[in-house]
Amino acid sequence: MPGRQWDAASKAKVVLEGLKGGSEGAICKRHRIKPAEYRRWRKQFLANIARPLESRRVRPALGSRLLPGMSARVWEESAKALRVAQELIEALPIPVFFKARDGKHLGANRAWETYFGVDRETFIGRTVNELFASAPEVAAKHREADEDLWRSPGTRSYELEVPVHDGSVRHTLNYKATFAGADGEVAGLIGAIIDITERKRAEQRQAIEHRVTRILSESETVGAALPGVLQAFCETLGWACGARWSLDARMGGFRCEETWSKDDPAIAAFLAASRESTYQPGQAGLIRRVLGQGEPVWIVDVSAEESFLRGKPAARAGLRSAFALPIRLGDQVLGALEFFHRDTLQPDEWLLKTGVAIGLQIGHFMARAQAEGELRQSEARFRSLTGLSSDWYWEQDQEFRLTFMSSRFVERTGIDPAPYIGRKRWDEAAANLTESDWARHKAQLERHEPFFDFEMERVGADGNSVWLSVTGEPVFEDRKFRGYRGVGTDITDRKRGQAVLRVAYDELARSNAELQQFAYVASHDLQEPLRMIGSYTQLLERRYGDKLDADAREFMDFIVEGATRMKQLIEDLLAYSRVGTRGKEVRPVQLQVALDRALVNLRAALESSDAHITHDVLPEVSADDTQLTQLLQNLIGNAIKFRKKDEPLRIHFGVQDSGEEWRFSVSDNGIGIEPQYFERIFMVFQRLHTRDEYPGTGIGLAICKKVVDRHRGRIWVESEHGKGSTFVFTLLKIQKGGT
Amino acid sequence: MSADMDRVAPPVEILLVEDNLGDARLTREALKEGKVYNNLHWVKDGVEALDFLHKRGKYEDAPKPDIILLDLNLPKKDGREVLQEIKSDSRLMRIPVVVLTTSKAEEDVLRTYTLHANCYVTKPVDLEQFIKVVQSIDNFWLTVVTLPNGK
Repeated sequence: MPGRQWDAASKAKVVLEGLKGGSEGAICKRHRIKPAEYRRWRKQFLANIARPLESRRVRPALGSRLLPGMSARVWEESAKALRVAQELIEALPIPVFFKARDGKHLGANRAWETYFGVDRETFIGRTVNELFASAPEVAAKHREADEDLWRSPGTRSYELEVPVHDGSVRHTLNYKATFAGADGEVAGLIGAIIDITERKRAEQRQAIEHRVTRILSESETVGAALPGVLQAFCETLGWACGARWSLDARMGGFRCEETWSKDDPAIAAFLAASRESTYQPGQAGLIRRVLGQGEPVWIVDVSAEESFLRGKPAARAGLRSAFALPIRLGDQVLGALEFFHRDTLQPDEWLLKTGVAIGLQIGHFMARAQAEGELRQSEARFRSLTGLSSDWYWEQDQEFRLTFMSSRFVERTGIDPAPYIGRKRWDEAAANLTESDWARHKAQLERHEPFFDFEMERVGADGNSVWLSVTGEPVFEDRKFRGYRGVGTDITDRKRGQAVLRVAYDELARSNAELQQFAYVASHDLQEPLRMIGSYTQLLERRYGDKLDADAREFMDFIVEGATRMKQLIEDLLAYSRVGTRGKEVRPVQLQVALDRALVNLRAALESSDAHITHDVLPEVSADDTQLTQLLQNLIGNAIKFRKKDEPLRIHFGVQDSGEEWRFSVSDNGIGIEPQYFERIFMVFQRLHTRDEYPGTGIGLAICKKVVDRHRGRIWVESEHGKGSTFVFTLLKIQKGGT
Repeated sequence: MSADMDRVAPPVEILLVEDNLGDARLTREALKEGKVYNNLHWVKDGVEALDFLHKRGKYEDAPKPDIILLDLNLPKKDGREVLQEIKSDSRLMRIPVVVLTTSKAEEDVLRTYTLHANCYVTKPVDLEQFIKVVQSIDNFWLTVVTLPNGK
């Protein structure tokens, strides 16, 4: 139809056919118009539609041109309503836009313009493909939703992550509704965009934290928990890999402990390299800075960060952005977490906050795991100690009732502890303890004092005595008394041993006393018959001597002499036996006094021998003074007895300080003793000479040795035959505060 | 019984408490050789000695002894007990007691001392010595013990 004149309404009808989805080619053919002309018409039409959104000024001409047949009054009302709606839309803080049926933009409000950073005027007639040119998958998603709407008009809503004006990706909820043209056909859609990024992130953070909490609660060690934690973080937030670094405060280094990455050989190799090295703290580097400052650090591009030592290998593995955050417990930095992304990302405050929250969770977990580990170790030590010990372990509650008894108890004593659980120690009798013993023990427990080696004689499984010794200490929790705990030992063997020893000791003491009694009685009773023999022999001689011949008188002399000597032997033996058993208490004695007394006792012998006696300055010693006098008397007496007949006798009593003891010596210039007899002379009744030469029974030195032995000293002789003798004996010095 | 007829004084009444026949006989023999005119009364144990001193039973007519020779080791009641009773009885405590012991054992000596014996004598094996002892008792009696009579 060449030359046909097209009015505005007819043009609009044609354009609407196209906006409703009609093919441009088919429309042009049907109406015999050129496609260029059709496009011009459509552009004009769309410009008129969108105009109200650009300007507050109502353009009545638009309506009159677009909607023929509308009365002026209806137009006025419609125009008024439209103006209110237009102003409302423009003022909305959420982005709103209009699209035609063919997907071309008809207009948008100011919020949309700001949200996407696009000039709404120039964007009219363009499509979503141009809005998301850098993110085709986003554009495709929108187109898909639009197609669905055209097919089945109405409203739709869907969520989509979209890039916005600053390049960041926002989570959007998109509402779209179709609108119809004057002919009632779908003419386009109006869309509103609600930014739900914050809500989404809150949900995401909650999800991550929840997942981390679950992983930590199911793990015993940090090492077991961390790969899962890293995975949860990376998977949820789209980061490529993560690692945990531990800080060894003692060694002053830090080390990569656990890592996680999605299957990628290059990243795995990068993480493996991280794990193999130990680093020293400093200012440079990602982990160094985190550990040093205790604050998160973000690196936008690892390949461009000079201070990041692992930057190049990370970049080779295809990683770009990185961030790390401290694992803290209060002010203490326990380690760090790091994450890498394949893309170059700007610092994300939200992400960092989420990371710090997880770091805190891990910090608490590490502290708990460490405490639990220490507890386990301490328990293991305790178990191994109680396992190795022959002692058992027990516990009592605050009422002193037995609450626990380790298995060692039944192993050691054969007694089943079960009946005693819940009972008090004094609920069962102990053969060795009286009521007052128990009362004292109870009082001690009520004072919450520790007690040591409390011994009880109980009845064992076989009916025999079992001796138990228990030691306990009070247990307090929060300063509140909770009971007692302690150990116990089976001391039955020791007690039996002690009993055997006691019997043996009593037996020995009795036997000693008996021997002493025997020595006394024997010597006493032996003397009576001796006296009879001696006395009556002499009486015979006295009365009837003149009737006997010389031989008879000589025989009788031998009888008397024998009896006399035997009496002396008995007396000496008695004296010897009394040194050990009838001695007096040891006390401080001035040795000078003892010497003077001995010399007085020896006065007759000294005068007759014309002895010359000298001595050193004598100390005070600890001794039985009677026995000490006897000792000196015997030694000096011997010196007198065994003097040389042709030489003036000289005796010297010397003293030598020998550390803990005194060393005394009685030296003479007498006949001396041959070395082979040095030992023998100290034995009872051992003599080196006949009684004709030197009288005596041979008891003197034996008594000396016994006296010195009793004083815990030593006695010996140093002599050269013919050149005198020196008898040496030692005595302990007086100890301060005791004897 | 010695018969020193030169003496006109009444005989010294001696109580010998001695269980050993031999010792008793020796004492008697020794006294025979002494100078003192004496009546020797011999009892064999402590119970008899106290009966004698308290004039009980068959000793109803016994004289109060001028001196007691007391052996320590006696049957029934030993010398120590006898000595204790003598010394705690106001009628007997002034009688001089010579304790005869078998050994020089210190213990005997000490015990006797605490019991206030007037004298102690160890019985020697040698007869000569014993005679000297008995004679010393003679002297003792003549010099010290006669004093109360001389008042």
